[in-house]
Amino acid sequence: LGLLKETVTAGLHDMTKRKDQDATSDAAGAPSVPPAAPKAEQSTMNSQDHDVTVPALDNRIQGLIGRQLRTHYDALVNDKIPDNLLKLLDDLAKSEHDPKKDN
Amino acid sequence: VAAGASNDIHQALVAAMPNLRAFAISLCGDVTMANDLVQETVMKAWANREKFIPGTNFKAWLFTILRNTYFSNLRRSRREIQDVDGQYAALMSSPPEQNGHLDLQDFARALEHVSPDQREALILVGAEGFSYEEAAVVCGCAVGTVKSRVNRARNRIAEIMAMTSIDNIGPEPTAPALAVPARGSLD
Repeated sequence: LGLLKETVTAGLHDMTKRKDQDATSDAAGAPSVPPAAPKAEQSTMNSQDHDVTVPALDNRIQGLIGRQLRTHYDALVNDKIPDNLLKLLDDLAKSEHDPKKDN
Repeated sequence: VAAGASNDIHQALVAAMPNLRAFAISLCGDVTMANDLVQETVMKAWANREKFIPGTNFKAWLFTILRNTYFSNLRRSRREIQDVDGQYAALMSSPPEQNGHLDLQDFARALEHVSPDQREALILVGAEGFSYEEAAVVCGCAVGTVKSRVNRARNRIAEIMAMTSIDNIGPEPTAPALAVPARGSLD
């Protein structure tokens, strides 16, 4: 459990080229890591990340969109997980314990 | 597969399920389809669990499987649908109803009218809190592409929502950024 917990949280920064090269077949060859990773760029909706091709929005509008997005998304995260998915997880746990445990 | 590792993977799957499902719903805009997508993703992840590298980001690994599955299903269904008619495309691009004020319903609708690749980038960065670099790995594209998609997604949402919500935003008489959404060459 500990291992995975730290995987889920701290692992974020280890996620580089090794990460998902075998995630699925059409992962399209993991992209090379950006040569110069911008330093601790905040990935919030309010950051002014300028892009030559796309005009930046007014900060207040960006902020509003960011808050709406998170509220919208949080509601989805907190939604009840349907029974068939819970059952699937149960079945996987059983399949792991049933056939032969090797330790 | 070592039982201990499987056990860890299983617990990580359980822990990631709410976010995986939220991502799926946001991506495909349909709860039933999202549940199927999550199921397919979980089964693929489980079947390939020995390929996960401990110490790397499990959630990102899972999200990558889900989005690759989604986009390859989408490509397939588009190929099938194109033969039928342009009707599906027309349906997908019909504007949201313009009534009422800025609320979550409006937002959800606006989000549906952002293209899938832009929506994906916006959710990963803006809702899941992935860095641009992490999002780029999940999406299999360049960091600059992620940034561009996030900006385009925001602009598109602002463009759609501005029609009903300009007074919620406050005194913004001209709001030039709203008036000039990027058009033309995507990616």
